[in-house]
Amino acid sequence: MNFLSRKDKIGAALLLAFSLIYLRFAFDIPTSELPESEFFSARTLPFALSACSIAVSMTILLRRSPEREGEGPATALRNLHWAPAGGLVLAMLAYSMLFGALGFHLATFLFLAAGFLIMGERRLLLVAGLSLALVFATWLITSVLFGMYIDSGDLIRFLFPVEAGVAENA
Amino acid sequence: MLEGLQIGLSTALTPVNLGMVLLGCFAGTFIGMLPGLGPVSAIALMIPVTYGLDPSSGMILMAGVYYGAVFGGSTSAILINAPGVSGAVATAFDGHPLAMKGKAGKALAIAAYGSFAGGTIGAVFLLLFVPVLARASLSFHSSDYFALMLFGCTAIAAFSGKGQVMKAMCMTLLGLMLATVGGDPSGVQRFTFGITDFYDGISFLLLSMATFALAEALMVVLKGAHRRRDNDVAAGGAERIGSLALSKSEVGEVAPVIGRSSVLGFFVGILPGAGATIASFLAYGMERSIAPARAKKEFGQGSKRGLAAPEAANNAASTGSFVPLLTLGVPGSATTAIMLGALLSYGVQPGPRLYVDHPDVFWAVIVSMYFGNVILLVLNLPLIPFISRLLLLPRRLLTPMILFFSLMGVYLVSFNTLDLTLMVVIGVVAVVVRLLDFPVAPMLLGFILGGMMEENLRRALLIWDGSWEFLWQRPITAAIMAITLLTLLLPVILDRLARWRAAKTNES
Repeated sequence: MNFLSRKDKIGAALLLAFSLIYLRFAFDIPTSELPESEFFSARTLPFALSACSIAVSMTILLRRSPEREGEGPATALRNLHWAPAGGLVLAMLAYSMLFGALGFHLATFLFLAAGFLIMGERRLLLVAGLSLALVFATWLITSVLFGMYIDSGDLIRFLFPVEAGVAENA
Repeated sequence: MLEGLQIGLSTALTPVNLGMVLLGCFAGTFIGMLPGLGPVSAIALMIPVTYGLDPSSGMILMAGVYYGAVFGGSTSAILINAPGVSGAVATAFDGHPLAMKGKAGKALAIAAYGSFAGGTIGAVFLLLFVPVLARASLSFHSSDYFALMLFGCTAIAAFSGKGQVMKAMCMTLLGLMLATVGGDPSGVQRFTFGITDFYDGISFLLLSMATFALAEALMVVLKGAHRRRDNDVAAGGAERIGSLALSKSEVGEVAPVIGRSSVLGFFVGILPGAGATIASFLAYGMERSIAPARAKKEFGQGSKRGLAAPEAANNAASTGSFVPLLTLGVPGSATTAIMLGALLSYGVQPGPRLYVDHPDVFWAVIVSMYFGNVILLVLNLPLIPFISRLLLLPRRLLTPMILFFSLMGVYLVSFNTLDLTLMVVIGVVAVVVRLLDFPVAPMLLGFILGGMMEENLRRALLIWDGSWEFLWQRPITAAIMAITLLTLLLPVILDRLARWRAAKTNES
């Protein structure tokens, strides 16, 4: 049997790897001087969980598969739309990393516009208008209505130091 | 009980809480209607909103969202054959064929009446069972709680689909491991790698939003569902809804079906992990097997019985799943697991003490469930032709908006951009896990129960002087442990038995 042709084996192998790494770092947990740590310390549960998950993942890896799955991972992966999903993940990562520098307004506008474009919307006016409307509506509800702090970002603070400070204090 | 009902009514009937039920039902219907987004995602998206509310209002809002999402899922199942939730899959078997025959209005009305009756019967049963069970479980000690948490973790794994038990156990263990990140009950830091943001552990909100709302939106894109021209079909369905009225004979035909399915659904819903999906399939199967020969032929072709049964059962099961949450503090489904997490973040500990310590929350949730059903029937049903136009919104615009609201939901609670990065990473991991056909809900359950399990085990060992004898010395603990073992072994035994029978049949 080809190992990579079964999703459950791949999943179990990934969990086994995670459990071994988890167990390795469980040894780094400091032990407490408290009297109860004699029979239950901060390491007890992580050790028990590592042992259980290693046992369960090994069972899946070693057991004889009772029946063939309908579709192997290769077939399943071939039919997926990787480009838009990958694009959205990258856009989200960029959004989270640039949020502090660009601020809520600019970062959100760029993220939404990028998201619409990645998903195949080509009407630029609609992309810009909808992104702007969503940024404005979210800012209105969170900042103005609920009085929540929304970071205007380093760029705005650098370009307009006084206005940004006043807006945030308000 | 009457005093409790009074407390519940006085809490649920305040203008704010009535508004919450209304808002919850509408928001739930909107979100639940979108294929790919179910009650779990709907509730996860609502958690940031509930943080600003008191526990009663927050829980009432989430209960409304739950019902609304279940109803919304049925609407998309009927109109475009795309069940928004797994509990509505059986609804699509006969609901969509009915809509294709130009009877979408009737189908939606049967679904709404079935949901209403299922929810009502479920709420009455809840009212009768929960206080009794809660009083009985007041005598629980920490060792019993530890056994209960263990049961909760194993039960959801054991009730998973065929061939999924081991996978569900893997995911529960993963959730338990993630729960150990951060300070332990004695204050020792674990797996934080010196990053101060991890000192309080991984946020439950972040994990639930990443694994459900964000991962589901990405799965829709990966599977190419955003490219399908659902909109045209939806437009057709939305414009040809037809009359919502049912004739006397139709009411006479579906009423007994709804009654039977509601009772079945409630008791199936109580079982941890069973939930609305199993209840709806069981009810559908039961009705098909007991239907007269002529009615049996209609199943799958637009049978009104076939539509009413799963609808009544899934709503009654949704109500039933609150029984273990409210009485034992053990969530019976992914949705109630999220609600448990939300209650914990309010500082409210669900379980037997909830009945004593927070009677307002306890009773308000029960009473508001009934109001939720009334609102769904009285307000949502007539508005369905208008609400269903939401299905016209192209997925290419909707998906980035869902991703944005998920990210903002987490950011507006923590104001930490590291949480956004972590959320994306966890979301991607959740997508991989889904692609490998591993269930995600048990992970969330393990994550939520992990902290409580450790705390109770530590306390039990302290009381028993480090001895594990409590597992068999205390009758309640021993009984729960026995049930846990039975739950774990039952699927294996049944599987062996089925194989043995098959082998015997082959021989003969």
